[in-house]
Amino acid sequence: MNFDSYLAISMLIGFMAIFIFGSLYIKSKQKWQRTEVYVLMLNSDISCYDCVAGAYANHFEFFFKIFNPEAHYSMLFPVWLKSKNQLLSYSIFSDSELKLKEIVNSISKYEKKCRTEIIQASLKRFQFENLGRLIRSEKDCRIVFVYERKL
Amino acid sequence: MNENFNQKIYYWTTALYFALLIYCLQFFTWSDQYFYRLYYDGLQGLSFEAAYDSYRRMLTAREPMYFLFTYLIQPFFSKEWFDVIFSSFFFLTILIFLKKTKLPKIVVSLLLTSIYFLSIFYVTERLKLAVLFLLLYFIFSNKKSSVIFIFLALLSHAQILILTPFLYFFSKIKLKNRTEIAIFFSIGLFVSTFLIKHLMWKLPLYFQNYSFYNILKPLFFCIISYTFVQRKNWSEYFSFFIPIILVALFLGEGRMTLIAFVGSIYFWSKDKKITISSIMLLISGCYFSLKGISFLISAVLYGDAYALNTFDIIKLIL
Repeated sequence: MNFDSYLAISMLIGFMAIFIFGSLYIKSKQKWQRTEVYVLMLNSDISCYDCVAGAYANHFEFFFKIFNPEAHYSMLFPVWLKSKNQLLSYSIFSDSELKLKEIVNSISKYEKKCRTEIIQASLKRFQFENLGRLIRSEKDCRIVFVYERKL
Repeated sequence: MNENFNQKIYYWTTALYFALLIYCLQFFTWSDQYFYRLYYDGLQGLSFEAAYDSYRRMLTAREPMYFLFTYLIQPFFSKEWFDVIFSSFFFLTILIFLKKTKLPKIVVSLLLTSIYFLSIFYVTERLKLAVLFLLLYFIFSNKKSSVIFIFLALLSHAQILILTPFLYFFSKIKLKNRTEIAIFFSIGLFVSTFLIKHLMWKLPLYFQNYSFYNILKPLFFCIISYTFVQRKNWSEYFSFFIPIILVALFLGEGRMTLIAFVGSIYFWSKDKKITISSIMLLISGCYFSLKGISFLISAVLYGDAYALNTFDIIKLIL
């Protein structure tokens, strides 16, 4: 009985310790800088369920955010294209120069049906409230990436 | 050290863990929680019909229980307080339930730290409500009227349907007179009207996830549990795993693995013998706890618990 208690206590304390120190350590490695904002909009017929289910981040140098300048509100938006478009990977983004055109070309090459559009800085046309609908609508799926460039 | 002292330390550690979980609620800002928050905050001042419409559109759900629950509570509590109270009640209920099952403490700890428990605790609110009702059913299962909790669970999340064959064998429902039969079937009919509508709408979406690989993890737990089952439990065993494996085929393995994992622990708890299968179950539990850590770290960093997987986290730490 005692042994069981020891194990359970160690398990819980170990879990909490790894979680707390792990997050602090990773957070200390982050170097966020906010400068320019780019939005990359893809209109594609990729299932949005797939996008959300396959969401993952593989780097910390850059990250995507949904940004609503009117509401002064920003939020992490880790929706990546799943397997098909893993061209959007570290190798592209780790370049010191942001090459949006290259990214768009790579995506278009890979997914020919995609119509891509880049909006730089001006985000007013993007309706934040409609985000849920945009993401969840199956047929006209728009995947919106807001890219904050680190200078 | 005496046993009493150990018990106290264990309870205090669990309380500390619970405090940490509650503290982390604030980090879940994206993924499902984002939509739940939008829905909950948007309820203010809406009529009943408009609120239900908003519920259907924003959460793409039709089960009425969560809607009624939030609609009644929203005027009194902000989303933050709602989360804290609801999660605390859920945690307390799960502790009472686990205490009743008399599982070893290490198994309880593994369950409480697993990614599946955490995802129910933080992300899937409708499922949390459904699981809460199921737990209440198991806690009060010695009373006949507790069957009402199964109906409430079904009205909270349609996926509880997967468990109904098992619950039938588990509860050994015996209806004695016509009044009982009438009441039982009337409630059943009422529940089905909601579920059929919901399923007709959701099933086509689910079928997109069809893959044979989906069944591998639930099948693993099914095979492990086979070694735990005693002769009189076969009906429970088959009624539990067959629907899970079938549904996993179409729906995806995520939640089905959760149910299969909990089911394996249930079948193991019948005799609690230490065998190779139970060790494999323990190792699986450790793996799910490891995933639980990455789940929480991802939420702290990104607001979305699914933004990073375990290997990403390990890569980042190393």
